[in-house]
Amino acid sequence: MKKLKLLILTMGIFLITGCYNYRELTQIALTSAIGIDKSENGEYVVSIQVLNTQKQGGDSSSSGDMTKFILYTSRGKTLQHALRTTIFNSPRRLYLNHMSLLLISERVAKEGIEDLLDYFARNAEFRKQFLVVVSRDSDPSDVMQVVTPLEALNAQNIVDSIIADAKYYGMTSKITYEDMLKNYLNPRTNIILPSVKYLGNAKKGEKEGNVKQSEPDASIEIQPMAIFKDEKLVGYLTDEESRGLSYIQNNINNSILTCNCNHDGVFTLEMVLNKTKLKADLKHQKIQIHINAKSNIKEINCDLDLLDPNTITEIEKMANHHLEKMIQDLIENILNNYETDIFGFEELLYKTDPNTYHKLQKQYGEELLENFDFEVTANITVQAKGNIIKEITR
Amino acid sequence: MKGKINCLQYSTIMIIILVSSFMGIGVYSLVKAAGVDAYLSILLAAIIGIPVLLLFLYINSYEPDLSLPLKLEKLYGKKLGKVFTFFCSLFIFIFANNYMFNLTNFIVSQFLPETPLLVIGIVFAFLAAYANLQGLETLSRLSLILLFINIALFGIGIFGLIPSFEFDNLKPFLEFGIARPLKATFYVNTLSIFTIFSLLIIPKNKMVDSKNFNRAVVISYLIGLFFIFTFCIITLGILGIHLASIYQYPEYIILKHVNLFGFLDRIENIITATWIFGLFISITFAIYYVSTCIAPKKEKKNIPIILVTLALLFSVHIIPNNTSFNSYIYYVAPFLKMIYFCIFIIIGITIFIKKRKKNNN
Repeated sequence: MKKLKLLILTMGIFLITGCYNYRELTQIALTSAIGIDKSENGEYVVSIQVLNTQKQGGDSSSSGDMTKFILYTSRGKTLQHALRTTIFNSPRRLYLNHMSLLLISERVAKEGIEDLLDYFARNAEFRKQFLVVVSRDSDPSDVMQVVTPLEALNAQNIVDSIIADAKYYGMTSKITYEDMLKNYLNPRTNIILPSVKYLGNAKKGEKEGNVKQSEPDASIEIQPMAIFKDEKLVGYLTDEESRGLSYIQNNINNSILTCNCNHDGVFTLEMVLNKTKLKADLKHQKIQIHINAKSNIKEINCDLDLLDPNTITEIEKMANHHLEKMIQDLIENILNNYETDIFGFEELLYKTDPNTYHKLQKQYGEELLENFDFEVTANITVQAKGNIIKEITR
Repeated sequence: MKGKINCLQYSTIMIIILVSSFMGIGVYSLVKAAGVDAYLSILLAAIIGIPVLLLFLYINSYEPDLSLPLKLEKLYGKKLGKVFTFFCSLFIFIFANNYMFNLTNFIVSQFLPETPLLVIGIVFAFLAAYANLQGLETLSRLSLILLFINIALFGIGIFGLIPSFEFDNLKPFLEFGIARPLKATFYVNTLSIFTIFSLLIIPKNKMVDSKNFNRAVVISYLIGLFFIFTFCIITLGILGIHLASIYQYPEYIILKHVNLFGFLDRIENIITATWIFGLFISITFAIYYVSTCIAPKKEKKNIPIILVTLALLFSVHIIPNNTSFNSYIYYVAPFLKMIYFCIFIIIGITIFIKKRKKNNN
C-alpha cells in the first residue's frame, strides 16, 4: 500500500510541474502592436508588429544592423482568423499579452468597430490596457513600418508621443482599450480616440536608413482626436478643439494657450494646475463648466506694459475670454454638426439626477443637449512672467 | 490535543468559506440583480443575515459535542436523522461540484486555455483528498496558513488598486430605490451566508477553546462579509457598471490594474492565488463534510478519495460549459441553497420544540 501511495505521489510530480501546454520564449512572437484594416472585399487585413528577438549587437557587421521589429501582414474573414494565419509567415505563434498599441484604419473606424471591441474583450490573452489610435489618411501597415529615431519600436514611439502630448500639450488623451470599451458600452457616452498620420515616403521609411538621417524620409505625427458616434467614426477635431475637449474632461495637466491681444499681436501662456468642474442644473436645463488654472507668461508679441499690475489683469481677462470662447465654439460645433456627445454631458446629467434625466430624455430624445445652455467660465491666474520683468524693447 | 482545533482555526475556515463561495459568481449575480448598487446589497445582506447567524449558533448549541449527523440522529431518531443527513450532504456535494467547476473553469479561461479541465481538476482533487485523509486538524491548519497569505495578497491588491478607484463609477446612488439591492441580498445570503451551516459538522468538543466560540463566529462573519464588500465595491469603482457586467470574472480583471509604486505591476496572477486557495479550502471542507456524514464515527479511509473523484468527474461532465454554469448559478443554485437553508430552519424549529417540551416536563 505504501509503495502504491509513493507511486501515486511520484506520478503527481509530473502533473504539477506547470509544463502542460507551456510555450518557451523561443516559441513565441512577442507582439507590440496590431494594425487593423479592411480590404475592398471586406476581409480584415491585420498588420502585426513583432519584436525581433534575434541576438542584437555583437558582430556589428551582421546582427547589429538587424531591424528591431518585424511586420507581418495577414488576412481573414475574422480577426482571429487573420491573426492566427500569421503563422504562414512566422514560425512562432503570436503572444499578445505585451501588446501596447492597437491601430485602427479610418475605413474600419467608419464602418464600425463593434466586432473589434467584442474580439479584444473576449480574448483573455490581451490585457485591456493597450492604447487605441486611429490611423488618419494612412494605412496602419504604413504607419507601423516606419523606423523611428528615438525609440527602437515604433509602437512604443507612438505610445510615448501620445503620453507626452497628453502631459505637456493636451491635444490628445491616453485612451486605453478599456476606456474605449467603457465609453461604448455606456449609452450616454461616445468614443473618442487619438489619431496618427503617416508623413513622407513609404518605401524609404521602412528602412533602417530612415533613422540615420537628421531629417527622416518618413515619420509619424500625432493628430487631434477622432470622434465617434455610436460605433462609427464621424470626424476629427482640430488641434484647438482637441485641447478644449481635454479641458472639459479635466484631462489636461500642462498646456499652452495662445491668445490674441486686444489691439495687435499674440501672447502665449503656459497653463499649469488646470482644474475643471462640471455642474449640471437639470431644473433650469443648464450645464456649468468652470475652469480654474494657473499660468505663466511664456511669450508676448504685443504692446503691453508688464510693469503695470493692470496689464496682468488684462492678460488674464483676454486669456479667460479666449478659453471660454474656445470651449463654447467646440460644444456648439460638436452638438450641431456631429450630433454626438463626446464630452460625457449626458452621463453628468444622469448621475446628477437620474429621474429628471429620464424625463427630459423622454421629452427631447436625441436633441436633449441642444435644449441645454452651456455656461463656460474660466479663471486663469497669471502667477509668473519668466526671467524678465518687462518686455524687451529699445 | 491531537485532532483538535482552536477558535482561530475555526474562524479561518468560516471566513474562507464565506468569501470563496461568493467570488467569481457572486459579483456577476449581484451586478445583474442590483446594478450599480450591488455593493449596498452586501451591507443589507449582512443585516438580514443576522437571524441566519443566530440560527446557526442556536443549532450549534444543541448537543454541542455532537457533529451534525449525530445531532440529527438524536433529534429525529436513526432513520429520519439519516434522511436529513443524506439531504444535507447531497446539497454540500452539489456545492462542492460548483466550487470545482468554478475553480477549474477560471484557471482554464484565464491562464491555461489549452489545458483540459480534468487535468487542472486532478491536481486540486488529489490535494483535497490528501488533506482530508490527514483530518480536521491538518485542514484547519492549512486554512489558517492560507488565510494569512490571502490577507497579505488582499492587502497588496487593494493598496495597488486604490489609484484606479473612481467614486463617480458608483453613481447614481439608489436610482431605483432600495428594492433592487434588497432583492439582490438574496444572492449574498444564498451564495455566501448560507454556506456557514456546513460548519455544523465540527462539534464543539473538537475545539480546545470553545469558550469564545460565539464571539469568533460573529467576528468571522463580519470579516468575511467585509472582504466580499471590498471586492464588490472595488470592482464597481474601477470598472464601472457597464464593464463589470460583461466580464465573466470582473474581480480578476480589476487585478490587472494593480500598480504598486509605479513599477510593480502585472501581478494579478499572484494575487489571484487568494481566490484559488479559498476555493481549494472550500472544496476540501465540503468533502470533509460529506465524508463525515457518511461515516460520522468511523475512520474515513478511502471515502474522501472516492468523493473528490466523483466531484471532479461530475463537475467536468455534468456542466457542459460556463454559459450553462452562469445560468445555473443565477437561476438554480440560489434556490438549491434556499432549500438547504430550509432544512436548517426545520432543524432549528425541531430543536426549539424539543427544548420547550423538555422544559415543560
